[in-house]
Amino acid sequence: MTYSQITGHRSMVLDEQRNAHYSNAIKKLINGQSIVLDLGAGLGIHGLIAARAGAKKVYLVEPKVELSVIVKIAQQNHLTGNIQCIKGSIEEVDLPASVDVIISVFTGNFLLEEDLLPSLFYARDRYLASDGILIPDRAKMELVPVCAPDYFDSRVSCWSNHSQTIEFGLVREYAANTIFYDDHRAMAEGFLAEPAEIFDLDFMTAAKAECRNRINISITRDGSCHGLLGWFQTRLGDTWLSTSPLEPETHWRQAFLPLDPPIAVKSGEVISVQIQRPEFGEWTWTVETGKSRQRHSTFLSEPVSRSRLQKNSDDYKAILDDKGRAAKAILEMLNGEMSTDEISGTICKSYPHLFPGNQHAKRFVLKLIECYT
Amino acid sequence: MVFQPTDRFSVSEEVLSQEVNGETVLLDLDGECYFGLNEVGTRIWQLLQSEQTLSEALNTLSGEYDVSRDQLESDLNELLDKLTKAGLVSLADRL
Repeated sequence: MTYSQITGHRSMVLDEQRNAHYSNAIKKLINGQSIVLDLGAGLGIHGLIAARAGAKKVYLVEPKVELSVIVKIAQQNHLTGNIQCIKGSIEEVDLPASVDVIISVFTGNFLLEEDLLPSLFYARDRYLASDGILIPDRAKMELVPVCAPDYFDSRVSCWSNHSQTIEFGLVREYAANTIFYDDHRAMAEGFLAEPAEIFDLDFMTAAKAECRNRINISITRDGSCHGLLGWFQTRLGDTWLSTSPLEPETHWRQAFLPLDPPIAVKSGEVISVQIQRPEFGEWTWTVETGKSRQRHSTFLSEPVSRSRLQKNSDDYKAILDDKGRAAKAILEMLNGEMSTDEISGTICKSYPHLFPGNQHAKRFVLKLIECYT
Repeated sequence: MVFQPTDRFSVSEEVLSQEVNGETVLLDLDGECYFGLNEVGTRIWQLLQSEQTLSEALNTLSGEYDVSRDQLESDLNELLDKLTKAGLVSLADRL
């Protein structure tokens, strides 16, 4: 699913559990004087609800969805009078005024996935009035150790089985360091303890969306712990919306953080769980019992080459490769004087080893035109 | 920092490492920083984890690389200095 695909918003627009909570909070908190920002509006459902609730003005800011679609939806709902649709990320646009309310759905799976919260904090600091409010304004992350042999087998230990006599055992380590976002409601039967809160984030005051916390969890039944199951809940007005597997389903997925090998635990035992996730960084989870300690990290879920790391370094002095030089030449030709066909033909002749035919060159040219014109 | 031939080093528990194509990427979980090691640096990192003394590591590297001992010693000290300052390794003991 990509946010630029119109129908990709289906799961969110039709998430009745989510939208009912948002709608209730919007109707309680917005009045006829409210200036509202719907941040990352998508197809505009929450901003339109705010407009219908009587907001004085609603800004719908959305970077991915084609603006004309949102405008037409507003027109179809007879809600154009007090609405302004703005295309772009909040960091790219300039709103003409401060706002009283910021509505957002910048909570990713397990709260921090997708790293959208930093943009909410940016919007808060730049546009929210001193007595303004956020919807939602707070979130908590929760997790529980689980016995989940079937899922573990299907995603992690399966790699130890050969396929058509070909061994793939080394992939198991990557799998054991991957977080699996899925509908994990079936894991509710495998809870080995009471769910515990591991992180509490106040959106009104937080400077960063990062988690680094350790908690102790008391095991409530004997079993094999195949991993940790995590989710979040968020506060909208005076009610909480939870993405727990024990609560009504939402479009959010729970997160399964594997432990490999699984750990045998006993009722009454206390285990220590640490979760760490810096902004835009890797998830790391560590579980300690009286007998063992395991650490896993998404850093180890995919191979990371030194050259890729170097390229992200602040002191890296980059040099264009052939493809980069071709891109530079194309960008310099985008001066309104040459057609796409002419540019493609020129590039194809200059870089025959990169573009075996005009069609290959044209695809490359069109990508640059899409991005930079 | 000046190291002695009998120095041993221990790798911080807060460091994750992965080797790809003979080179290594380190993630320091405390500082949330990444470090890259080339092939020689990767070999030095492996030797650090085997708890050899500085002198033993230098002897091992001299047997494996067709480079002067002085150059290897300089490279080794330079890398150890960087890793120590970054908190990725620390002196285990000094006799």
